[in-house]
Amino acid sequence: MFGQRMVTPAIPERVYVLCRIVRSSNNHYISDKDLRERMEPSFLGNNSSYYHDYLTAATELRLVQVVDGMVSLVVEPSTVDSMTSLRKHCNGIIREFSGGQFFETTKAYFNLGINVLTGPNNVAEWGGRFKDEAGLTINNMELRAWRFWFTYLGFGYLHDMFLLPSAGTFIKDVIDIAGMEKKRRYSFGEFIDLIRPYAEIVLGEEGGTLNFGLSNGLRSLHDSGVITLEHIYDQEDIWSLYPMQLHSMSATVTNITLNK
Amino acid sequence: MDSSIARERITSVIRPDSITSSQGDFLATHVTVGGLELLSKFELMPSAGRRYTEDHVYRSLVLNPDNRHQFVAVYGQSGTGKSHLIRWFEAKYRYDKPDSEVILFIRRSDNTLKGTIKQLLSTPEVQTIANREVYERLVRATAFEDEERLKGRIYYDFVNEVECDEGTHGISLSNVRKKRLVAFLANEMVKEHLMSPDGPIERIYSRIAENSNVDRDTIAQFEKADFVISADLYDEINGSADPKAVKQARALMADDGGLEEADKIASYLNQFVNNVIQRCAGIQPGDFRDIFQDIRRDLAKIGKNLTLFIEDVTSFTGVDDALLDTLLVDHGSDDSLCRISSFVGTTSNYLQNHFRDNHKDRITRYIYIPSGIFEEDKLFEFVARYLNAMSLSSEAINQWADNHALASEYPVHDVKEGNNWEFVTIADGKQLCLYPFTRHSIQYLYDHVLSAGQQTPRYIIRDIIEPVVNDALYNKASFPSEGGQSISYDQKLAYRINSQIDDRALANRLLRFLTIWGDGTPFQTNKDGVTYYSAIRSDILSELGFPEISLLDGPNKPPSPPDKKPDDKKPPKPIVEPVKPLVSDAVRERIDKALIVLNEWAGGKSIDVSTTGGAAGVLNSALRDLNTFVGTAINWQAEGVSADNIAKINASSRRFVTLSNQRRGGTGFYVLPADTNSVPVISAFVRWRYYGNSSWNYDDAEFDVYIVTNWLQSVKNAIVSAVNDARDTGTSYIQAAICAEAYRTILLGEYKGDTLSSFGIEHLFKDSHTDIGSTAHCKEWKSLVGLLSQKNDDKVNADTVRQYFNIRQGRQGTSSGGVTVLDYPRFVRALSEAKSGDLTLPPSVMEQKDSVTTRDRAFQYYSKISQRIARVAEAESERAKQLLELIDEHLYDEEYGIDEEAILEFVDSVNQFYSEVNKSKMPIVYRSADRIKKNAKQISGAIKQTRKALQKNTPLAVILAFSTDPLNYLDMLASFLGQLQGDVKRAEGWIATKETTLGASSGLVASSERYQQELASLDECIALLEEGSNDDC
Repeated sequence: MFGQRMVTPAIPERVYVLCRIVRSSNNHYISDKDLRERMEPSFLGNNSSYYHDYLTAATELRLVQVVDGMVSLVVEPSTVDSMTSLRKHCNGIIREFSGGQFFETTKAYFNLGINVLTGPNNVAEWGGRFKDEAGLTINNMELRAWRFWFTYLGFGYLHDMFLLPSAGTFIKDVIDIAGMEKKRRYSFGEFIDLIRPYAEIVLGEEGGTLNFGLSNGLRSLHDSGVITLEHIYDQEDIWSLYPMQLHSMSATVTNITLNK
Repeated sequence: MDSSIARERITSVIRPDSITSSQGDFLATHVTVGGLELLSKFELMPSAGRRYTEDHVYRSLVLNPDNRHQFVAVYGQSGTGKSHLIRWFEAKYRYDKPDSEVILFIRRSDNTLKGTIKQLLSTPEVQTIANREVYERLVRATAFEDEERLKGRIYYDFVNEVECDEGTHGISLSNVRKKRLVAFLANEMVKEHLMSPDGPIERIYSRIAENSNVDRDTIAQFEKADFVISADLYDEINGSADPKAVKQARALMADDGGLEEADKIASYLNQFVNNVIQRCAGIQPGDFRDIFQDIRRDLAKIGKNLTLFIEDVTSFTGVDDALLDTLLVDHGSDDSLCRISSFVGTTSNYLQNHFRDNHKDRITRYIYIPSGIFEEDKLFEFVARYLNAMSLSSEAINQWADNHALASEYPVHDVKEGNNWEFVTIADGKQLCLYPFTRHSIQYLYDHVLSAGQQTPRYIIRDIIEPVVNDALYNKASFPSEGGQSISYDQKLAYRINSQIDDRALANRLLRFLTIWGDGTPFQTNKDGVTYYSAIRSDILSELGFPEISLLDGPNKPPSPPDKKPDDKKPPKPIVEPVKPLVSDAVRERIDKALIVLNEWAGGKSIDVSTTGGAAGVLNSALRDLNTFVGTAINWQAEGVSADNIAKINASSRRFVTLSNQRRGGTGFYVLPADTNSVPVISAFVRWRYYGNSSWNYDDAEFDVYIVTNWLQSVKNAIVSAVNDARDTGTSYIQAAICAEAYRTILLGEYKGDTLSSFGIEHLFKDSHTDIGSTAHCKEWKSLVGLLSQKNDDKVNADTVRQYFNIRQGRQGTSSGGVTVLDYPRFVRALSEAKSGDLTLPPSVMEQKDSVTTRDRAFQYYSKISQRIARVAEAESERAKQLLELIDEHLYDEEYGIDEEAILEFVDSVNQFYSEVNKSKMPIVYRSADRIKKNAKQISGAIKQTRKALQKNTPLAVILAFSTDPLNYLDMLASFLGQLQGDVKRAEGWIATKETTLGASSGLVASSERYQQELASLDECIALLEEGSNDDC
């Protein structure tokens, strides 16, 4: 899913439930067979199985491991306390999937900037766009699979079948993971340096300009009071947000403070 | 402005009818106009031809350089300034006229015939008029008459005219129709209707009485609308009138032809208006003709000519024909008459309908005053002159007027308020302060408050100047007040203001001010150290109590707000025109209207989004699109909301989001508050649909994307919480569905346990539809099972249970290609909860109702069971007891009860019985007990199970105990016992019959006794025979 190509059955909610079952088993161990029987019991009469798809995703995300037919949890049990804690875990290691289809597609998407608003209405039809813009080969089903994790990990929202970029949730996870101090005013360059190891997927090329989707997310966090963006006039470390005249942070930012 | 003076002067200066203001105020507020049309032939609405200034008209017509006889009609729509123009001509001509010219000015002061005669008689030039005593007597003869009585007289005069009509007028009615109309008019309800304050009698009365509130431009006549009969009025007429009146009313109400009838009656009655007015006013047409003839003769005698200004010809209603006849007579044909030059004001409508064609043909020239006569600068000057006049004392004004009202000496007030506001420059470079207006506000209000036909001086004064000045004078703290007009705000400006000002009322007031008084753009600019917000100086905003705000930096070209040298300075136009997407004008109009409705909603009005047409349709679509966005943008499963719940919501009439103060259109989980923060969210979806053609691909879409995604993030938790399926009843519908499905499984015998302990998820996936028709359950049991499968309820409920825990991918509401992936932990938890509650929901749950119908169905389904299950358990137990009683009667052993051995022994006895029956050749069919023997073990088990079941004390326990249908075995045995019992009886009967046939009436016993006697007798005989052989033989 993350290491190679994306598959639709491996949705985040199934990965989460799988982990919860493993966690609730004795010593956080359960046989592969029993685990499958819990999620796709034979009495359901399913014609096929998705089990291995989401088990693979859970394994890739280093949530569980399968040894000798036994599935065990390889993260702290608290990691799967909730979908939120699971998301934070995933966002913390997403950088490790650089080169994988999910990472590269997401990165290419953010690099499109404002042009993401001019693509086909159905995300499944974006293959040509990614091919043209980023040289990625990605088919219809893989794009469908991509949207599940894209929205879950907080890169944006789905409007019908069209993606709207706003990386606020992802950035907030990264801020927490990177250990940004609360109430301390960071220069924006410091902030970028702090999050870059985790946020390469949305940061794009080096430089002082932030793309549309990331700018949206930062403004949203600013408006909700999670962070405070500022442009302090005597500062030299100036970064450009995607211009949005009406917003109080309409174009440039020099500092950021984490409030909560 | 000087408020201290303006407060006292406003009422005297602001008089919409020019004729009622003082001469000084009139002159001080006069603005020359330049859009007059001169015509030789009457045209109701002249196509825009060459326009002339009033000065040109004055010189060519009023000054009358050729000294010719002329009759000039000044006409236009109501309020266009006819009176004003005529008065201005009169005032100007008084200074310019030659000595040989006498001016008569007939004002519209009280607009009655007698009032007009009084005016004429008071004119200095006619003090020596011949027959003056006669005319004065005529005026004095106007005895005071009670208003109601006079109106009644007018009314009945019309009735009388109809009754006496001999068909001499242009329009006539048949006798039958006349009688019908008379009866109709005689009806009290009809009379009350026609004499209402806005009815025709009041209009006609205004031409006779001296005190009337009727609009002076209103024509004194009947109109079609006066005879449009409402259903209520018809009912009243129908209840009391004679049949002829009802028939007339019905004809007027007819869908087909009713309006034509009303039109015809109005036209018919209008033929009598002149007669009625003359009669009621006590004046004859000849009176006016004679007056003017006498005046003209008198003037001719002294070698003078007459220039006549009549402000409004309707002052002569009733005698206008006679008046026109007199005025149109050229002096050339009669040396005894002086030359007359007449300027007569009239509305277009009156001229069209009340001037006969031969009169129209004899009119020398027509001066047409179009609506919207003011050019932009003149409009501002018009307002500024009024503002100036009301800030000057009447003495100062009158002094100027008395000194020939020279433009160079035009007085300008000392500005006490508004020094930093805009000024306009008038003749001689004089500058008039526009406070409390700006040019933009005047133009905006002119364009938006006044309808097309009302863009005239009268309405500018009444609907713009007066309310705004009063607002500034008496209500400055909340200036500008809500004017009731619909305002289309710039959404960016609204967003900027709302994001900076928390006080909604203050934000709305500022938005209103910047939109109407400013240029309505979201930009701020700086010039000469002054910041302008939407082209309004920052100090003006401070003066009005607005807080500091920050708008967008204006593009390169700064605005040029007027200052103290404002000759050609106009408020800055929006510098960046919003990019208009390619939508049709019709669609754009709908969108604009929708946005106005939206703003009104944010301002507190209710909103209707239930229809699909017009502005409501635009908003309906936007709300639907917003709901689609919410439905797809929230990761419901990740938020802990089952996809089944969302599917059920989508299938119901409830929406995720509705609007506060929404009149129709359904209910929602989250109610969007009616404020200006919500407006950008909804309008974003308006643009998405119409500008983007259902995409985010249009100019400025990125801001809309930000608005909607940011909004969703802020309300997501509230929406997720609101759709919680346990919110309405305290318990999720899935609990009801699980309990019901478990009960159904048990009732169908699919679960074998006698407790719920081993009831597992798999039991809920059995897809059970067993036919229990052949079971031995009681009829109540079977009836309940039958009830549960009605209308596919069983399948729907089973599907609910299965789908609720299915972790779906993709679209909410559809299962994932037939593959079910269970949220196992959650399923186990829910089932465990149901089991621990013995498949019972708290009673309070059933007192509530789930607001989502499709969810409530699970509760209703459960309710079918919960209401009946106790009765089913009771009936099943009763049946068990009856069966058991029968069995015990035959088989029960005190020591062993009824075990398998006992049943087998019983089977042996049965077989022996039938063997004897067979030997005895009894006519009884052999009945095999093999089935009993074969099921002996099960039967004995069932008996034990039943005895245990009867010990259970809860319905669930009883149902569980009987769910495997033990009564089936009891029934088998009991049935056999019943049949056996019958066979035994038959065997006994057979034996009894046999005994009887053997002779003993008393049966077998008696036969035996006889047989014994016979044997004894035989033994005695044998003994005797043996003795005899020894002794006698």
